[in-house]
Amino acid sequence: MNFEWTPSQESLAAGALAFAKESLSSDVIARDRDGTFSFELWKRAADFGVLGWAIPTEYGGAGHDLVTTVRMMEALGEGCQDNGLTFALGAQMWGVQTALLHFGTKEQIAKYLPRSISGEAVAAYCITEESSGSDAFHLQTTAVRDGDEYVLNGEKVLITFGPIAEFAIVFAATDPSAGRWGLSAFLADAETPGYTAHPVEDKMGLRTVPFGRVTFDGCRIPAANLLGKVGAGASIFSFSQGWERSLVLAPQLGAMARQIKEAVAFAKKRRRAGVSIGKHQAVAHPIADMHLRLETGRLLLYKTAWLQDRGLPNLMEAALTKTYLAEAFRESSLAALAIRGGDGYKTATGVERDVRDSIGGLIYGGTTDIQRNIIAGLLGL
Amino acid sequence: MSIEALAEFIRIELLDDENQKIGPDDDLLLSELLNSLSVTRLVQHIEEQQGIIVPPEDVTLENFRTLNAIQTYLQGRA
Repeated sequence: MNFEWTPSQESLAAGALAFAKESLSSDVIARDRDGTFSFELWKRAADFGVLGWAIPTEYGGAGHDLVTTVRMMEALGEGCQDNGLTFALGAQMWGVQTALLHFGTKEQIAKYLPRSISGEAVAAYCITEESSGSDAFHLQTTAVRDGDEYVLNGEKVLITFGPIAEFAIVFAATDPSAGRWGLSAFLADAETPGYTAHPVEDKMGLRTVPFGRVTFDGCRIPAANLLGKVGAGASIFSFSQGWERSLVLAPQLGAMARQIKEAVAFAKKRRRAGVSIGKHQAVAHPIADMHLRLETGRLLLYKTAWLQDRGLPNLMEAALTKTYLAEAFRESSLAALAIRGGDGYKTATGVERDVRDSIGGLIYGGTTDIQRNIIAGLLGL
Repeated sequence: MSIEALAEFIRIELLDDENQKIGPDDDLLLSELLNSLSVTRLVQHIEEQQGIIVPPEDVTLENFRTLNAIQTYLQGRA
């Protein structure tokens, strides 16, 4: 077992950290307050290559392995104070691009992937519905074949980039009587008649990335826009969900590293009764716990990515990683807030924003309860 | 991979019920005998035993609905 990074990996991570600090955090307080997505920052990240890091070179990406990519995503999360932006980048890479790359035809990949890598187009991953959250396959949206077209009808909710996406991957029932085994996946262009992107909805955290509803009302798309096989929708979703579950929280590790540096600096500078507050165990121990969570999270994430790189089963590791990283970020965010006290309660410090942003990770990509169902099931329970 | 070997794996490892009877044409999926996690574990088991990769898009009702369907699919992959 080798825990060393190569000089190349170190260099890539350092570059990502420097880039994120320099170029990805401007106006985050105002954008968080207003719930505004910055297409300019998105494009900067794309121009830096982020959206192609894990894409094979033959498709225009950098072809990095997943261990290297998550290390860079972690660095991005440390340097970029906009957790919404780094979450959105991950969701695009592991949800949309993974499904497109693994199940798309040559024509579909050629049409959609380059614009995703270049950042010119953002895409939505449309599965969640009002009546199907954790029960993801209980869909009401239908796709009916009519000649050379499919007709989509239904409503998707809580869709990342739903309000502004140029295209969407849409899961719908092609055989409603077959439940999850009657689902199929489609590519739908937002400009198609019958496709309606609804306004951005306010939410607690990750406010710099737009969420919202997408509805389909007699939306006719070419039959050639079927992604994968008819009836393979659930399997396609499970596959791409596995990637997302494994890798999407990598930037949160970077945010946790940033929190530790800020907490240590604060605890050294702030003095009480003649000594820095960091000399008090009531302050020092929570920071030690923050570091423990960070290092434990790293081991889980890197192992999961390592297995994924080799095509080895990592269902258990992915569920452990998703659960641990989501809860660790919440706990460390709350600890950072407690250490900073009234200072951390102020919006200007960004500490309270991390607390709000951390909650999303407990929900999206499969709630931590669902992850525990998977873990328990794999243990034979 | 024999139908009986598949049935035994499902009985013992997935359902934890050695008395569960599973016929070659019994519906594994629409009957919800197997949930999504169980299907994933079954596919992993088949991959390990057969030394093959089962593409996710092949995990469909047509190929995995019954033990007979699974065997037909695997024979087609041979």
